[in-house]
Amino acid sequence: MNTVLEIDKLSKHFGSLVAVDEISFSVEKGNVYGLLGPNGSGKTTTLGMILNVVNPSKGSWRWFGKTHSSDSLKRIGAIIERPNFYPYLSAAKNLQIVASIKQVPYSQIDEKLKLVDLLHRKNDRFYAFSLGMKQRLAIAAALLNNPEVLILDEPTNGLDPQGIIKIREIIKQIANMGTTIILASHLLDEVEKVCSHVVVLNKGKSIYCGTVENMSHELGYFELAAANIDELVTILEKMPYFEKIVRTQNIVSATLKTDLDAEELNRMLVNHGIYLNHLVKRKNNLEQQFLNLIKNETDVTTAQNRME
Amino acid sequence: MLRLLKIEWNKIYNYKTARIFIIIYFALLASMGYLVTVIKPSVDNMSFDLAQLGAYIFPYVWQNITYFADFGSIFLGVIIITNITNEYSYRTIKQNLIDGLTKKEFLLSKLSVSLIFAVLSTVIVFFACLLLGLAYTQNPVSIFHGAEFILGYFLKISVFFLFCTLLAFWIRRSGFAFIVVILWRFVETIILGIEKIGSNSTFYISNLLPGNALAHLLPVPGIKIQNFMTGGSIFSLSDFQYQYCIAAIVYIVLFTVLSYRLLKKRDL
Repeated sequence: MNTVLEIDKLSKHFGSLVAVDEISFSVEKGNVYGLLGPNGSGKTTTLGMILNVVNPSKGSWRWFGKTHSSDSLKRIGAIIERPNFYPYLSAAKNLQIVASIKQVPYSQIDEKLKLVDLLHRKNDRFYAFSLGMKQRLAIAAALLNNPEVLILDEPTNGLDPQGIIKIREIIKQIANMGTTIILASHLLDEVEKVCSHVVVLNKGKSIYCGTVENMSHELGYFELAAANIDELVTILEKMPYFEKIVRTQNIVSATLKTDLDAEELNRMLVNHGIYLNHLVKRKNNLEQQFLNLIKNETDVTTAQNRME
Repeated sequence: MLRLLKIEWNKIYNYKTARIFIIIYFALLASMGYLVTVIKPSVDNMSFDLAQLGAYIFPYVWQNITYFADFGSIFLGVIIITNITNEYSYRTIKQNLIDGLTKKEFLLSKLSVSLIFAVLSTVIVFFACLLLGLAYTQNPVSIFHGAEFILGYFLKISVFFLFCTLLAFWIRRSGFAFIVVILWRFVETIILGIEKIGSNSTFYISNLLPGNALAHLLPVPGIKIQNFMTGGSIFSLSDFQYQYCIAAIVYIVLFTVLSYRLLKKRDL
């Protein structure tokens, strides 16, 4: 049994607003998933539903192959939106409450505080913590039951660069222990750094679910420069490999339509008497891929609307 | 159940304001037996010694002390309301549920605290009445005659605590919930007053409203001068009206069910 979570046509309506519209995807064991989407795309609502704090309008989900119950929650660790603790209680006391709820021994508390580097602050009250520390305490709380799945919703929101790096390191450390992680974020750069899989949501619909590599079918593009740039463009335009050639000042970028490696291209250009002083083959980063995906989706919808 | 109490204990006892309120309340309640004997209100330069008026002799002590002690329950009502509304303002209710507490368990943990408050108050009031009665009663009378008011006291504060619980879950803001608790009593009294206009019936339907029904469980102690003249207590014992116990139990069930439904239906 390697499917940790299966979501089947889950929907949530708030009055006439459809916040989540028949989302379906599944999460496999041991992977780090990024749940991507612009603000208001339904990420938090979806997580709220599978964690049983938001009542779904339609659809179903299964944790570990079973219908949802509070027992499945005890195998999960989750933080939604922002760290929620009793401000008047110390870090340790707050974790005692979580430990009692999750039915794990108090002995776990120090161990997890150490993991997030808060052991020395265990007797300080929560309200005196900085945002980064609050976020780390939340991670410690989520890890108390040694969860099989860790769900993090915008864990680096509002943190300073050091705080972000620290959280990211902790996430990687947890992922290395074999824990499945679902990370909701709109920071693509962050997802790219830690995730192997992505689920992309837009306007309450899931538009992609799979590995980061397969997210787009693009072959990439070349960045080229040569002394005689006009001639370079002319030759490139005669070649059958490119779908788009754009010249910006001293750099030509040529988007591929069939696969071609850099060495081969270089050799062909030399045969044409062009000697390159710059040659890089690139693939779009996650951000561009994501924007393309969202854009395509919007185009399709607009086209459909026009046809109607 | 023990697990739920442990969770609640951590939440309430470490909350300074709540801790101080609880300690003051129970300390006052426990020392009430002594305090009422030293307080001698004076009206028009005439000092009233309630003990001499026979306030603490059996069976009147049962009604007098429970009636008096009931005013203190507002203290615990405040704690019950803030204990629930805090969960909303800190959003810890959401985190508790995400961590694996069911909504039923969450409600049970809150109700168990109310139950403990009610039982503890009742036990203390029972002993206060018993000790006062034993100390002041000279004529041999049946000790437990009139002790039904202890049951009335228990039911009255239990319904009150559940009412506070329901309002806290419903309104989710402590300030507004307090206001409703206070206004509610006036509203019921006004409704009853309106119903009584131009009517000389013996039964009024608005007596079944929670506040009015509960007021019948612990009626204001009556006064009969002629008893006092003949050397007895100035107080008279009201009849304990068991039909209002049924109303109280109905409200206990109703408020619990409504609280659970609110919790279940709402998104967090």
